[in-house]
Amino acid sequence: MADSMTAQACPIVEVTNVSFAYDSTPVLEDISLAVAPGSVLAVLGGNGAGKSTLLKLMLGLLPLQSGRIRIDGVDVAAQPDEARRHIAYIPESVAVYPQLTGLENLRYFLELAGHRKLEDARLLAALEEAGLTAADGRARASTYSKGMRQKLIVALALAREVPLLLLDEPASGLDPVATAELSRLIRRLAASGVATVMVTHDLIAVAEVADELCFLRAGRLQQDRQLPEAARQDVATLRSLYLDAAEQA
Amino acid sequence: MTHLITAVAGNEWRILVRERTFLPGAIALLLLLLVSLAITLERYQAVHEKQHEHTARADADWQAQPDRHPHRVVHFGDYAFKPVGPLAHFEWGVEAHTGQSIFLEGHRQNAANFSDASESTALLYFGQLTPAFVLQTLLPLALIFFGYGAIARERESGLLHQILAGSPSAAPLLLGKWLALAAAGFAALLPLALLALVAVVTTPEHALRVAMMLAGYGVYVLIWSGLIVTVSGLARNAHGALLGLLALWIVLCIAIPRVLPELAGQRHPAPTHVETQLLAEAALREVGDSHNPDDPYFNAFRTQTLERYGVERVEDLPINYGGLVMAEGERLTSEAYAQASERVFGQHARQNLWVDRFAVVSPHLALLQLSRSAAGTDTEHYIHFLRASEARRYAMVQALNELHTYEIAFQNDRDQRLGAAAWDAIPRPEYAPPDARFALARSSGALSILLGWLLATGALLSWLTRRLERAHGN
Ligand SMILES: Nc1ncnc2c1ncn2[C@@H]1O[C@H](COP(=O)(O)OP(=O)(O)O)[C@@H](O)[C@H]1O
Ligand SMILES: [Mg+2]
Repeated sequence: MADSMTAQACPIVEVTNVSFAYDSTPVLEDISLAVAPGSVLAVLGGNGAGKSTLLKLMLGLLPLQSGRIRIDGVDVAAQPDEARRHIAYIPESVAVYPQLTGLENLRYFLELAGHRKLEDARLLAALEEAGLTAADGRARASTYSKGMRQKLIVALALAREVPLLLLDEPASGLDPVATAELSRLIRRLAASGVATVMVTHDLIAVAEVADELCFLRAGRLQQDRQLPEAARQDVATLRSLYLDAAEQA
Repeated sequence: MTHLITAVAGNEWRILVRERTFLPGAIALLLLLLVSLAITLERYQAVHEKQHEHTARADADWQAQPDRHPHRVVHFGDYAFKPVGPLAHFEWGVEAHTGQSIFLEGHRQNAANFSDASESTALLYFGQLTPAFVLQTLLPLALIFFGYGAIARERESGLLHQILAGSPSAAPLLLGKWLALAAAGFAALLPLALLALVAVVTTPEHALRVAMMLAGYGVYVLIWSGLIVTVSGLARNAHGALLGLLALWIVLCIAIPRVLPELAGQRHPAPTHVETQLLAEAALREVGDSHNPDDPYFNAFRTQTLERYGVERVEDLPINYGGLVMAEGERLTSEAYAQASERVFGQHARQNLWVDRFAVVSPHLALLQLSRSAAGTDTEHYIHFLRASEARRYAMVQALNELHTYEIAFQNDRDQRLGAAAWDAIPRPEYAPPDARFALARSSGALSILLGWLLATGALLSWLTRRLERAHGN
C-alpha cells in the first residue's frame, strides 16, 4: 500500500490515457500506468500485443497520438530529448560495436549521451556493478553473449545514473543462469531507487523480479496487480494468471 | 558539439583500423601510390636527363656548324623542349601521348605527336598508372570499401536505432563519420603533399599550382567521403550501400570521364595529323610555289619588288632576291600551316568546352581537368607550347632568310658561306611555360564545379541528418 502511495506521489513513469494506432490499425487503447522509484513493472503480452510500441512511446520514438506520458516529470511529447536523458533503454536485440572492447563501447555510448570522458576506473566500476569483470571489459565485444551485452547497457545506465530502465524482451535468448543474473541486477538497481519497466511475453522470466504485473491484451491494459508472493515460485499459478488475463481481455 | 564530432570520428577510426579489410586495403593503396610514384619519378628523371642531353647536343650541334649558307641552317633545324614541371610527374596528362619536344625547321611544322592525342581522346582520360590516376580513381574506391558500412552496418545491427534513441541530434554522428573517412582520404594525399612541399621549396614559382592541386584533391576527398556516408545512410543495409556506391563510382569515375570526351570528339572532330598536313599542303598549292619560276603569285611578287626598288632586273636589286623569295615563301607556308593548326586547336578548345559544360555531372572529370591544368600537362598547356615553338621556329627561319637576303649576294648565291659567328645572332629562346594564372584561369570552372559538389554533399548530409532524426535510425 505504501508503494502505490509513492507511485501516486511522484512516479518516474506516468502514462495517462494513451492510445496509439499505426495508420488505421489501433494497437494501444486508453493505457494508463505509473511506476514509482525502485519499483519493477512487468508488462506481459503475446506477440504483437503492442509492448514494444508502448516502450517506443515512452522513449518518444513514436509520436504520441492521444494521452500523455511523463518521464521523471518531463513531458515526452514536449521534450523528447530531455525525457530520454532520464531513460536507459535496452532493446530486444542489444547492439554493441563488435570491434571495440566493452570498456570502449561504454565510453563511446556515454560520450554520445553527452557525458564527458570518464576515466577507466569509473567505467570499470560501472561494468563490475553490472556484473562484468575487468577482463570482460577489456575483451572485444564481438566475444560477448547477449547477456553480457545487456550488462554492458546496464552499466551504461549505472554510469549515466538514470532513474528509469526500459527493457524489451530482456529474457529472450538468455539461458536460465543469465536470466537469474539479470534479475538480481535489476533488483539491485531497484534497491537503489531505479524504476524499471520490462515488457515481455515470458512471464516465468519476470516472475521473480517484478513488483507489479500487468497484462496487455487487445490493446488494453489489465488492471495493475500485485504479484502474490506465492506465485513467484509457482509456475502453475503464474500460467493460470496469464491465461486468466488473456480470457478476461 | 565539436567534442562529440571528434569523439565519433575517433571512434570511427578505431573501428576502421580494426576492420579485417582495412590493413590489406590501405597497404594495397599505399603500394599502388608508391609504385606509381616510382614509375613517374623514374620517367621524370629520364625525360629530364634526355632533355638536358638533347638541349646540350642541340646547342653543341648548332654552334659546331661550319661556315655555310644560311639556307643550309634552315634545313639543319633546331629543337624546342617543353620543360617537365615538378608536378608533371605526378600528373602526366596529355604528355604521355604528345611528348615534350619538337623539331623546328624551315617550310614545315612538326607537331607530329599531337595527332596521337587527338586520335585517342578516350585514352587520355583513362591513362597510365600515375599517382594522379590512383588518387582520382582508386582512392574513391578504397574509401568506398572503408566507409560503405559507416551507417548502413549500424542500421543493420540496431546500433543506429539504439544510439539515436539516446542522443538529441544525428548531426555529430554524421559529421564525425564524414570527418573520419575524409581523414583516411587525406592520409592518402600525404605523399602528394610531401611532393608539393618539395616543389614549393625548390621552385617557389609553382606554389600557386601546388596549392590549386592540393585544394582540388582535398575537396575531392571531402566530396567522396560525404557521398559515401550519405549513401550508407540511405541504404537499407550494408550490402545495398556497397552496391549503390560501386554503381556511383562506375558512373562518376569510369563511365562519364570516358564517354564525355568521346562524345566531344564526335561532336567536334579534330583532324588527324595527316589530314592537317594535307589541308595545309592543299592551301599552299593555291597560294603559290616559290620554287616555280612561272608561278603567278611569285611573278607578281617579283614585279612589286622591282617596282619598289626602281630597277628592271632582280640582278640589279641591292639585296638578294633569293632570300626575299625564301622569306615570302616561309610567310605563306607558315600562314597555311597556322590556319590548319588553329583549326585543330579550335576543335580541341571546342571539345574541352563541351566537356567542361557537362563536367558538372562528375567531380572526377572536374578534378581531372584541374589536376592536369595545375600540373601544366593539359591540352591548353601543350597548345601554348606548340604556339611558342612555332613562333620560335618562324623567328629562326626568318632571321636566317634575312641573313640570306642581306649577307649573301644574288650572284653565285649557292656557293657562298657565312661564318659560324653568324648563327649566334639567331634567336633560340628557351620555352617559358605560362605562369600559374594561366592554369587558374583555365581551371576556375572546374574549381567551382568541385566546390558546388562539396556544397551539394553538405546539403545532402544535412538532409540525411533530419531524415535519420525523424526515423530514429529505423
Ligand atoms: N512500424 C509499424 N508500422 C505498422 N505496424 C506496426 C509497426 N510496428 C509494429 N506494428 C504492429 O503493431 C502491433 C504491435 O507491435 P509491437 O508493439 O511490436 O508488438 P510486441 O512488441 O508486443 O510484439 C503489431 O501488430 C505489429 O504488427
Ligand atoms: Mg516487441
